[in-house]
Amino acid sequence: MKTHKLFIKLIFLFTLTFTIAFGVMIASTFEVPQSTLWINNSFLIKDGYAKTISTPKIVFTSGSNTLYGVNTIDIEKELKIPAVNMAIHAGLKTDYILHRTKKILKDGDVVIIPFEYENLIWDGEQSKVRTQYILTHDREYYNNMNIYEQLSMLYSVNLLDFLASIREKIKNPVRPEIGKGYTSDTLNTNGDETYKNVTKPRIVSESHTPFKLTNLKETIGLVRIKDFSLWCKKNNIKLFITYPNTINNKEYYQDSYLNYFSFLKEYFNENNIEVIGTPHDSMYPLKYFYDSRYHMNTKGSKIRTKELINIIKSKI
Amino acid sequence: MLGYFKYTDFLIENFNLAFNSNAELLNLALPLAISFFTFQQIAYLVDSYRQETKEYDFLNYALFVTFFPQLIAGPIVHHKEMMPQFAKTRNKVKNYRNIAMGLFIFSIGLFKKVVIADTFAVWATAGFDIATTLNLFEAWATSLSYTFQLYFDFSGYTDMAIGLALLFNIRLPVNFNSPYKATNIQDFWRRWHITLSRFLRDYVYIPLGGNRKGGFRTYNNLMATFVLGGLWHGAAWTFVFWGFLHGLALIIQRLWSKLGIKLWTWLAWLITFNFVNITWVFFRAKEWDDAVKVLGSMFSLDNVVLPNALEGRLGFLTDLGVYFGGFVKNIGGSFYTPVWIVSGFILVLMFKNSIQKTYLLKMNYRMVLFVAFLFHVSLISMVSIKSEFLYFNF
Repeated sequence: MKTHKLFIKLIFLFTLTFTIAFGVMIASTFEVPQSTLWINNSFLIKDGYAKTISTPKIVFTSGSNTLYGVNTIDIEKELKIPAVNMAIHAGLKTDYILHRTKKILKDGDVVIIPFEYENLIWDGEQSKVRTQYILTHDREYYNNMNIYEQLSMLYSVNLLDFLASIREKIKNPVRPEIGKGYTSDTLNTNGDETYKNVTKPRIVSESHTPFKLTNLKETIGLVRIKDFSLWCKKNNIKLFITYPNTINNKEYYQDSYLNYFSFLKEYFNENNIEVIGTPHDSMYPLKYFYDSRYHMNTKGSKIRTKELINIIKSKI
Repeated sequence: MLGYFKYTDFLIENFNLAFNSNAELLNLALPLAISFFTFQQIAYLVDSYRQETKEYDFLNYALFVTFFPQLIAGPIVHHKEMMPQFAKTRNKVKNYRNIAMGLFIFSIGLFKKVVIADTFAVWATAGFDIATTLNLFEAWATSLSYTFQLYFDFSGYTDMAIGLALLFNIRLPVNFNSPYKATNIQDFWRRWHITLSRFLRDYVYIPLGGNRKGGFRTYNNLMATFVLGGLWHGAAWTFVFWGFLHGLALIIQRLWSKLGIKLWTWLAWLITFNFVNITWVFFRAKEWDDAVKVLGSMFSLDNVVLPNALEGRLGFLTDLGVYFGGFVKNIGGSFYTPVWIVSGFILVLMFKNSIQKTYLLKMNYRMVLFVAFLFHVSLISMVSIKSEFLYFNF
C-alpha cells in the first residue's frame, strides 16, 4: 500500500461499508421462527379467543407476571364476564404489548395492566425478544416505526444473533414446540399459563434481587401508557393500571423504592389514569413463586386472582 | 484525597466492627479514576522533592495529569516519559503512520473490550453476584470468565488508550505483555499492569529497602508492597487478602528458586495460571461469602452437572451422583460458554499480543479488512450489549 493516508481512508470506508451491508442484510433476511414460535403461537391462541367474544370483556395484559399470576379463567367464571389473559413476555416491551392489546379491544371492554417495573422503567432500549419477534412476525409494525427506531432495532442484532438466524432457517421446517412452560401448549383457553404447579420454588438467577431502580422521570414506557390511556378514553374502554405480582423483598420498603412508588402514584394521578392498589399490595412471599421474581405458582396465582376478583367487583 | 474518598468508609466499618460502635458511613461517591491520577501525581511530587524533575511549567504539568487517553484507567505514566514528548515540536505535526498504527491498536482494544470482555462479563456477573448455588462447571466457568473478562477489559482499555495517544504522536508505555503466558508469579507481575508494578517497585518496594537488607526484610518488603497494591485496588479485606496471597506466592517462589529445582514449563504455567485464576476470585467477590461460594463449588464434587447431550453415553455416572441438565444454567450460560472459554485460552496463549502486532503492522489490504471488521463488529456489539469498564472502579 502506497501511503498511510490511504490505509486510514480505507479503514473508514470498509467499516462503513460493512456496517451498512450488515444492516441491509438484517433488514432483508433476519428471522428466528423457532425461537419466537411459542410467542407467536401464544398470540394466535389469545387473539383467537378474544376475537370470538362479541360482548364486553375484561382483558389482562403485561408480561409474564400476568401470564403466570392471573387466572382469567377463574375471573370469567366468578364475574360471569368473558376474560382474556393477553400477557406473554415482558421482553416484548411496553409499546408492542399495548399495540397488540389495542387490536383486540372493543367499545365497552375493561383492560387491566399490571406492567412489570422493567416496562414502566423502559426508556426505549432494544430488547432481544421484541426485536426477534417483530422482525420475524410483524414486519408491518417494523415498517411503521420511524427510521431511528428501525436502525436502532436492526443494529441491536449482533453477529451471534445473525448466525442463529441462519441456523434456524437451515433447520426449516420449524419444529413443533416441546417442553412445558414457555410454550403455547400449556395455555388454557383464556390464555393463562397452567404449568406452574410446584410446591418448591425453582427460583434461579436474578429472582431474589429487587428490580433495578432508575431516575424518577417520565420514561418512554410511561409515555406509551399515557398515550394508551387517551386512546382508551376515546374508544370507550375502561383502563386500570395496577402493579405486578412479585416477591416481597425487604428492599421495597427502603426510601429509594418508596420514592419510586410515590413517583408512579403521582404520575398516574396527574395523567388521570386509574390505579388499582399499591405496589406493596401485589407483593407476596417467596413460597408463592415458581421460577422467577414475577412467575407465581398455582397456589400464588389463586391468591392473587382472588384478590383481583374482589377489587374488580368493586370497580365495575 | 485518595484516603478520604476511598478509605474513610472502610475505616469506619472496621472501627464499628472492632469497637462494636455504630458510627455512620459517609457513603462518599468515588471520583472517577482517583487511584490512577493520584499515583501519577505522587510520583511527580516525590521526584520533585528528590530534584529529579526538570520541568515545572504549569501548563505542561496540567497536560501531564489530564492527558485524556490514559487519565481514567492508565497506563500510569511517569513524567520522565511524557514531558519530553509533549515538548517535542515534531510531535505537533500530523503523522499518518502514527494515526494508522493508533487506529489499528484502538480497533483491537475496542474489540477486546466490547466483544470479548463483555461476553465473559455476563457469566462472571451471574456467577458471582446473582446465582445462589453453583455446580462444578458453573464455578469454574465463573472464575475463568472473570479471569478473561478482567484481562480483555483492562488490556483492551489500555490498547485504546495507546491508540488514542498515538493519534497525537504520544507513545504510552506498554502495560500488558501476555500475562497469562507467565510461568511463575514474578513473571506474571512483569507482564500484568506493568506500569503499576513499576510504580510500586519505585515508590514503595525500593524505598522500603528492596532486596538490599537481607532475606527477611526482602520478604517483608515484598509482602508490604503487595498488600498495599491490593488495598490500592479497593477498600475491602478481599482486596487485601488478594494482595497478601500474591505477596506470599512471590516469597514462596523466591524460596523455591533457591532450591534450584526446575519444573516442566507446562506444569509451571499450569500452577501459575491456576493460582492467578483462583486469587482473582477474592479480587472479584463483593463479599467473602461470594468468594467462598465460587471457590467451594470449584473444588467440590458434590454438585456435578453434565450436559444433557452426554446422558446417552455417560448415563452410568448418575450412580455416582452426577446429574444431567443445564450444566451452566445458573450463570445464564449455554453451549457457547465452554466454546468461549476455550477460545479465550487460545487467544491469550497462542497469539502475539496487540503491542507485538502493532510493531509488526504491515499496511496492506488484508490489514485494512481486518481493522474494518474489528471496528464493525465492535460497533454492532456496542449497540447491543451494555458494558462497563472494570478499571474505572479503581
